[in-house]
Formats: sequence, structure tokens, C-alpha cells
Amino acid sequence: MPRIIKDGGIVEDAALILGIEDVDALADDADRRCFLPLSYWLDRYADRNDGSEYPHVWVGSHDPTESLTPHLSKIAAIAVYFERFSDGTGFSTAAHLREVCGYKGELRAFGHILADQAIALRRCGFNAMALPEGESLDTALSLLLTAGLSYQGSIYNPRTPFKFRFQEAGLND
Amino acid sequence: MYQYDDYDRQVVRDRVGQFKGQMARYLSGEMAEELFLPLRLQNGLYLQKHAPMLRVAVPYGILSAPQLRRLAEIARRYDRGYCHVTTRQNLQFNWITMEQVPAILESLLEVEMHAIQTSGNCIRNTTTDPFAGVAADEVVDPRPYCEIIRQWSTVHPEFAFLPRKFKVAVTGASTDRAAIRVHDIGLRAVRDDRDHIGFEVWVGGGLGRTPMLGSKIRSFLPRSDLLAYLKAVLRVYNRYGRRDNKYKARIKILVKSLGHERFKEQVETEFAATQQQELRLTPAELQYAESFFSPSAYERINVQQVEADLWMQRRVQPLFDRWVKANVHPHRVPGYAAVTLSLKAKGQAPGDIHHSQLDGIAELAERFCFGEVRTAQQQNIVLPDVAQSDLLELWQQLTYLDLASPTQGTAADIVCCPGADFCNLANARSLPVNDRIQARFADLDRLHNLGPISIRIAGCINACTHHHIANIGILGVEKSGQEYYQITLGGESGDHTRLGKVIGPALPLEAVADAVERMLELYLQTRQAAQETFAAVVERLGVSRFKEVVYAANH
Repeated sequence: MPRIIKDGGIVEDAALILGIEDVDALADDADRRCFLPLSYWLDRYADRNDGSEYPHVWVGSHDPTESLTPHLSKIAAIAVYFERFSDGTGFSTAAHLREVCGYKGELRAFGHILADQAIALRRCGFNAMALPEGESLDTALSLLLTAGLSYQGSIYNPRTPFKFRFQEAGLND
Repeated sequence: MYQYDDYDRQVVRDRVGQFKGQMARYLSGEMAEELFLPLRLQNGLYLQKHAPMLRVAVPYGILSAPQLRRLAEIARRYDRGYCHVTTRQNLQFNWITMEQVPAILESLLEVEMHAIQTSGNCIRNTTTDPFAGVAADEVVDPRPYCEIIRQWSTVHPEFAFLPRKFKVAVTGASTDRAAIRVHDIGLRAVRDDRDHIGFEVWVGGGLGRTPMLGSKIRSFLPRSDLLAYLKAVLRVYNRYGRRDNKYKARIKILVKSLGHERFKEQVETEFAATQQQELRLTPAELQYAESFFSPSAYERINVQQVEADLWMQRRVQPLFDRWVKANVHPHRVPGYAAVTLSLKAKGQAPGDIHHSQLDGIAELAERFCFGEVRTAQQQNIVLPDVAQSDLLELWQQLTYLDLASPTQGTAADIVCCPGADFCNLANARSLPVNDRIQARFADLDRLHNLGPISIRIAGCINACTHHHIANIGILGVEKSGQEYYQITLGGESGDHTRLGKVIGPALPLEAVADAVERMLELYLQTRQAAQETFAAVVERLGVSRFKEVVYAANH
């Protein structure tokens, strides 16, 4: 089974992230968790209001993430796609979802990301990461576990660079 | 100047360790070239024409004597004995090997220096006025805010992979010597009528292929909100800036396409939603930042006596007098002056500095300037705090070091990139153009008679030397394998920042110095008084008159 990093550990995860081309065939596979493309998700679920939980959704760099805002409280997981590791849009997408929209569910980074980016991803609000082939989950995890000091803190513990010279708390975020 | 504490050392050490690991994986073949490329750029490492180049950060241009000595040692040991001052106050080593980089970074770390974010699509070294803290016209000392921005932007998790590079400049003086309107973000520190400190915020300036001046989106941002506001600007840019075309990826293009008002609205909305208490700079933190930049231990000086002595020294030493006129600047403390050390001696590539000069400057800084120097955007070095009574001796010492060219601010103080002789991006060589123009100014009387003129030479459209805002800008272009040079006229920096206009078809190398000469001759013939500067005459007569004299002779 595929493995991802989630909440600071490596876990097995069978969730499918579906492209728009195969979403019809697989979205109803009740045995597996699916992340649906944003446009498809909006078409099918934006107007549903029966109190049940929505399926998961994934967003790309250019997707209008704002359209999810009214529904966030019912979405348990959002995956953010990185087209290239050097395209850092996803870092701000995550930070915006956490900070401005107050999103509390799972935020998962997937696509072309590097193990070296694990710490920055976590600081921007991702609590889950699915690495592409060739990137080591163990490397990413060990980076997360040994993450040193940062001037900015994280989404969960933002600070000015000088604040931690006065307050000793929370240095390892 | 700012002193590292254990936290700063740890941040840099972590980053150096991470980069060493990445480099080891690259050198062993485990990491592919295309993955390594953006990572090495973020750590200041370029691959140039002849060798790798390492760009070392000089935070807002301040260097201590021990740092200068360490740079000299690196130049001797790993390079060919010299390094290069860039137009963003940084330093470059042009002749190193890839394998030496970890050792150089370790060596820099020992003197609290690094190469982090000196390249790549991230927030670059914050630049400022080389006279920050000592300028006679200063309203607010910008250095504490530069340091706050330096720390905040270093290894920022959200802004390491922006659409394109991002440059911030800060000034606190009434005259803008930091060129804030040609930066992605330009900040001018000001005081309101209750003496509270805040910032004018300018966004969307930049030169390069599509030169634009920034526009003001805030007239007074309280200083406590500085970081939250910067974050809002960067986040809007990181989310909506273009990534499909690197020539349209700078923030200036986003500001232009959204329009200044809509861009501002988006920033303000983001700011309103994210200005958490945690990001607000408290009075205690601001005071802490300021504490590193308290005034030097100035001695009380008998100003009358010193000025009388200086007057006499200048009378008997005409060369000294000339140097004082050109290279010595007013200081906020009576009896003191700021001094420009010229890196434009004839026969030298502008901005290049030899290891023996670095050692020499370190010694002079300790003797005459409280151990501190500045790098200037004009590719010179500044000693900010020299007692006027020491000027004569300093000048003599600088003469031995070949750093006393009395040419600051003149047509011989040319800003020039390494060009196609070194740089992979360049379309044409810059250094031979510089040499040819320099050769015309052997006569110092004539040079000084021309008054203040800025000449800037760029080897490609990336415009590292800001040729668009020079009185005379020279841009190297390539036409069917040949080097040609396009001339722009009428650019200005500072408070009247303005982009120059192209005067006509590009010229071959041999014709450039002649063209410059002819424009300067026209200026001398048409100025109404010696006080009317070249820039003023260009504005009065218009570009077309100058165009006529440049191209007339080609018939």
C-alpha cells in the first residue's frame, strides 16, 4: 500500500487522487477515499446541503481556491498539487487556507515535491505529504523530526524574528 | 552593526548543512542537475562562463573589519586574489570550484556571513542607503528595519519558491539613495506629525526587460505592522503572480495587469485577515533591533579648529582638495564625514577589489571608522564615520591602496557589470566599453568640469546595473553574432527617478565612447551655467538634440 507522511509519522494510505479524466469511473469506489478535482467537486457537491460530510477535494496552482471557502467546515481533507517543486504557489495556498479561512482538516501536499521541502511544507500548514517516486519518506520524516530553529515560526505558531529572543516557548515549529 | 546570537548562528548553520547535503547528493549523481539548479541558486551558487561563481550576502551593505579580512583570505585561498562588489551591495567570487564551496561557506559562517538567498526566485538581500545612520538628511535610521526584514525573509517557509526574484530596498533619508522606486518593494521610513515612525510602501518597480517604476500603495504603514504587511504583499504575489513566462513573472507585471488600485485592495484584504497579534513588532522588539545601531562613540570635536585645518590642508594639496570635493560627504555629527573609496581606478573592472585592498580597508576602518564599512550600490566602498581631522591621513593611505580616485559621482564613476567576459546571461561585453569611456577622462579638470553624471553599462537586458535610470545608459545587445550597444538618455535615480529613452539604433563597440564624448561636448556648449547639470540640460533640450550629435557624425 502507498505510504505518506501524516501528522509527523509515516502511515499507509490508499486514498486516490483522481484526475478529471478518470473521475467518473472511480469516484464511486466506496472502498477507497478519493480526492476529487475542484471543478468536478464544485459541480456535484457545492449545492448539496444534507448535512453529510463531503468527499475530499484537490486543488491545482491555478484553481480558484476561494470557491471552497463556504464549504470548508465539511471537507475533511484537501490535497494541494505541486506541478513542479520550484512552483511555490501551494505554500501560500495552504497558508491562506489555514490562516485566512481557518481550515482545520487535513492538508496534503502532493505532486512534484522534494523531501528537502518537508519542513517548509509543515510550517505553511500541511500536515500530510505524499512524495513522488524517487523522494525518500524517511529523509523527509527525519528532517521533520530534527527541524531546527526558524525566524518566522509556522502557521500554528507565527512570530516575529525577535519574539523568541524574549519568549522561550515553541522554538521548534 | 548587528551581532549574531546563537539563534542566528543556528539558522545559518542548519542551512549550510542542508546545502552541503544537497551538493553531496548532486556530486554523487543522486540528485539530478535540474533539481539541484534552483537549490544551488538559492544558496548563491551560479555556473558562469569560466567557473562557478559564489555570491555572498552583505546584509544592507554593512561589513566589519574581521569580515573584510576573511573575504581577503577567501579571495587569496580560493579565488584569483580578488572579488567583486555587485550593484546590490553583495560580493561575488568569480573563480572558485564547486568542491570548495562547502569550505568557503564554513569559513564565512565563522564571521557571521553566508550566501543564502543571494540568487533564485526568493527574497534577496535587502538594500539601503550606503550612508544609513550617518546621512545629514536622514529622518529615520533604516538599518534596524533592514535587519528585521533580513531575519524575517531568511529561509521563509512560504516564500522560497516565488514566481521570480524579489528585491526590497529601504531608505530613511529625505534624498532616496536606495532607488526604492525600482524595487519590487520600496520602503521609505517617515515620521508622522506625532513623530511616530512608519513607512511609505511602494510596490511593483523593477528594471530588466520591462522597466517600470513602483507605485505607492501606503502612505503611512505603522512600523509595528511592517512584517504583517510584507507578508500580505508577498502572499498575493505568490498566489497570483504569473509562472508561465519568466519575463512576465515579476510582481510589477501583476501590479500592472491588476491595476494599482485592485492590487492594493487585494493586499489590504489579505493584510486585514492575517495581521495577527503575533506578527506585530512590539516596542521592546523594535528597541532591541535599534540597540544594534546606536551611534558610534563620536568624540567631541572642536569643529572650528578642524575646519580651519581642513581648509588649509586643501589649499596646499590640490589633489586632496579634489578628492574631498568628490568623495567626502556630509555627516550628521559635526566634525565627521562619510567617505567614498572608489573601486573605479583606471584599468580596473568597476567593483573589483583585490585581497590586499580588502586587508588595507579593514585596517583603515579600524583606525578611522569604528571598524565598519559599507558597500554601495554604485560599486564603491563607503567609510561612514571618519573624523574630519583624519581625512588627510586617510586620503594618503587610500592613495597607496589605489582607492583614492577623486571621481565619485562623475562620468568616470561608471557602474558596470562583468558582462560577457564572465556572465552567461550577457549578450555583449561591458568591460571594454567601460575601459574606452574611462580612457577619455584622463584629464581630471575636464572630468570635474562636467559635474555630476551617472553612466551605467549593462551587458544584457536583465539590467543588473540599472542602466535605465542612468543619465547615460549603455545596454549591450547582440545582432547576428556581433556586439552592439544601445544608448538611453535622460534616466535619473533618487527622488526624481525616471527611465531613460533609447536615442536611436545600437552602435558598434568602437563608436560608443565617441557617442558619449559628443553628448558631453553638446552639454558643455549648451549649459547655461556650471551649476546646470547634464541631466538638467537633457531635460531642457530634449533627447533629440543629443541624438542628432551622436548620429550626425556617422554620415
